[in-house]
Amino acid sequence: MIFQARPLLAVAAAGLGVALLSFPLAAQPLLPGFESPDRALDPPAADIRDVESPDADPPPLARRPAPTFHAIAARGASAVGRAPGHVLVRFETGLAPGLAKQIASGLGAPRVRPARFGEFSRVDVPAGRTAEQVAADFRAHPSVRWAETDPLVRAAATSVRATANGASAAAAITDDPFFSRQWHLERIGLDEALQRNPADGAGVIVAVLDSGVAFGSGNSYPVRPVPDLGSASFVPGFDFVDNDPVALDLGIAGDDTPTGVRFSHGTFAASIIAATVNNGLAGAGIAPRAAIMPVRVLGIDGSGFSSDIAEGIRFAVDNGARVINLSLGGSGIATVTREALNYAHSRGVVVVAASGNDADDSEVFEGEFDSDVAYPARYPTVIAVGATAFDGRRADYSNFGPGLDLVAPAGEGASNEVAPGVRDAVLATGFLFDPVSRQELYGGFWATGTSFACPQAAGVAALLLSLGVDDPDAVRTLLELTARDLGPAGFDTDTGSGQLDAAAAHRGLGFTQ
Amino acid sequence: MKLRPAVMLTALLALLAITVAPLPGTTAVAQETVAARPAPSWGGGFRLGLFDMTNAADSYDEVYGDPMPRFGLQVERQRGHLRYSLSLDYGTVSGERVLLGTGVPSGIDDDLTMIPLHLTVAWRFNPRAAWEWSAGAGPSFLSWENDGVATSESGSDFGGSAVVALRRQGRQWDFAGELRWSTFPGALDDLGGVVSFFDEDDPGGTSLTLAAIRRF
Repeated sequence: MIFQARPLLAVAAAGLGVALLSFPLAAQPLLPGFESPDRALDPPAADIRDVESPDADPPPLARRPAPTFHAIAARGASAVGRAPGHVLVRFETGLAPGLAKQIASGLGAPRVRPARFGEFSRVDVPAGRTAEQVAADFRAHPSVRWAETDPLVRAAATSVRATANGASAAAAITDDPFFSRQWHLERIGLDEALQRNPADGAGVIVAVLDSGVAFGSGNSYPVRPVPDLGSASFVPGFDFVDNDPVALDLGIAGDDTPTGVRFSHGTFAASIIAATVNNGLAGAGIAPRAAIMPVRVLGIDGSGFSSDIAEGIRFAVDNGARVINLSLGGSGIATVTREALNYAHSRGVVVVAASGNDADDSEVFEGEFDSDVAYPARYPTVIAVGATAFDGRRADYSNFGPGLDLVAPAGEGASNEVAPGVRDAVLATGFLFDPVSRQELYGGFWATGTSFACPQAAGVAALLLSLGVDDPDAVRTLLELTARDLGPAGFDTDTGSGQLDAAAAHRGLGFTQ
Repeated sequence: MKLRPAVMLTALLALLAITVAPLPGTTAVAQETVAARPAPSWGGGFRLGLFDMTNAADSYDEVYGDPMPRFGLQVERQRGHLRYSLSLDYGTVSGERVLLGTGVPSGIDDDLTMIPLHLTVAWRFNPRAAWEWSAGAGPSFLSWENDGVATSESGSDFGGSAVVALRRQGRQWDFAGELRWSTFPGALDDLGGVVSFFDEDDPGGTSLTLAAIRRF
């Protein structure tokens, strides 16, 4: 995978920064199953191998020098990969906290930290022991309901490329210059859906559990919002990585070093969901009046603990989210996540997750990865979303299997030009950030991955909820039954029930509308 | 809704039973009194009934299912064998948006309100009898509104209706039951939703109405 830089191209009316870059973020996006702590301590690096400085003009809106990206050699694991130096334990209900600590001390692992959101505790693994050993000891105790390691999940993006910013013909619903090249919106019938749905997602909070979201105000990173999310509404979230209430997007590094160039994975997902429509700027979101709740669960290495995700889910549910977007996945099953998802479902919250991007990499990892739908997407209460390429096939990387519910158009390669000015990828807005030079590049990016199929389903779910659907099972049924069938008739493991169809989900539901 | 004809027939029979049954305090003397009443006369009263959109039955059943309850007012003028009446009804029904052909509930409320205005000229077959049959027809006007949670469609259109009625004529009050069929072709044209899917554009249908008319 080569990080190639190209001369910056034209400038959008909005003045977003322009570069033509290839930025493969996570060619091996799902980590192994973490059967051993050593493995968990040693996550494979993301896959940026070469970056060249783009020979380009400065982005006019930002009025900053063109970003200078450093050449980065491929490298293996490093200390940036976060180690699950703890196990997750759920004590029996009603057990006094003091007694829990007493039990933990008795088992040689005295540091117990109860979760803020959720009925479990993190027990630190003492030196000289493995997480599996500690978990096994706790499982054997009669006052412990379950104990397990904390599987990592990872952002499910495959590649990212900045886009040329030239304005093009306005389409039916918006004068946003990118809209006519956002072919994924045309494929899902967003135009008709928004015409049938004047609510546009209003009143629905979509929690984006990701690398955070660029929001707020001001002119300096990290508080400057992506311009096209400037008028979107946000509700308070939480940063479970850094344990603070401000879930700003610190990006995900293309390699595993703190100095790696970062992409705004969460902001990009939020932009797909709720980018402002009809502001003459960048592109269109699917549910532009939905509110975004930024919840940061992924570190800059692109991975996150299942326990953080579980807490993030409960936080989102308890704070009014009605849709939760999980553009992440891994192969590890986590009780803590399953319980949080059941909690969300019982509270009427729709949870959408990426199916994973491992389908074309499975042979590389010799069975440590399989191509089946990742977790948490594979849990039964979650809508698992895979990706299709521009030509309508399942994208090569998109995980598949019986656990897949539907697919959405997310492209197969950000470098593949399928029409003039159009690439086989999702076009939305975000930023690149170079932590060394402190340079940032805000603008439109082509990106592929089930990470960016998933927010499309989340956006359509938000639209349906804003119309009055109040049951997550009804949303799932609506999305599945109205999906455009692909491949063999009916459900198939490659594309599930078919391709997300926002128009069909809205069409024919009412008496005259 | 396969039971609809049976329900309507049952209701009609019940209506007939009600109207045929002797009113409290009325006897054959009352009939003689009615027969002696001079025509013409004015009347006005209240209406209560049920409406079923039989002209767009597939669409209506898909979303609402149950007949729409209606109430309204009526004024009329009788002269010999003729009755000229003007009735205004208000009806509303709540349903749920659905996925066509699946029966899967969407949870999305969908309300339909209809306000039909019927001008009817009816022929009274036996105007001096206590039990009077009549049949008539006339132009109609319909105003309707279809409300979703966040969306609304409305419209109005002209149409027509035909009616058969059985009336128990009393000293001061008449009690009538009428079966009316109405049509508003094209009133739902160029709309989306299930009416588009089923290609049904006529919100007319069959109504069964009871009316209490005060004679003046």
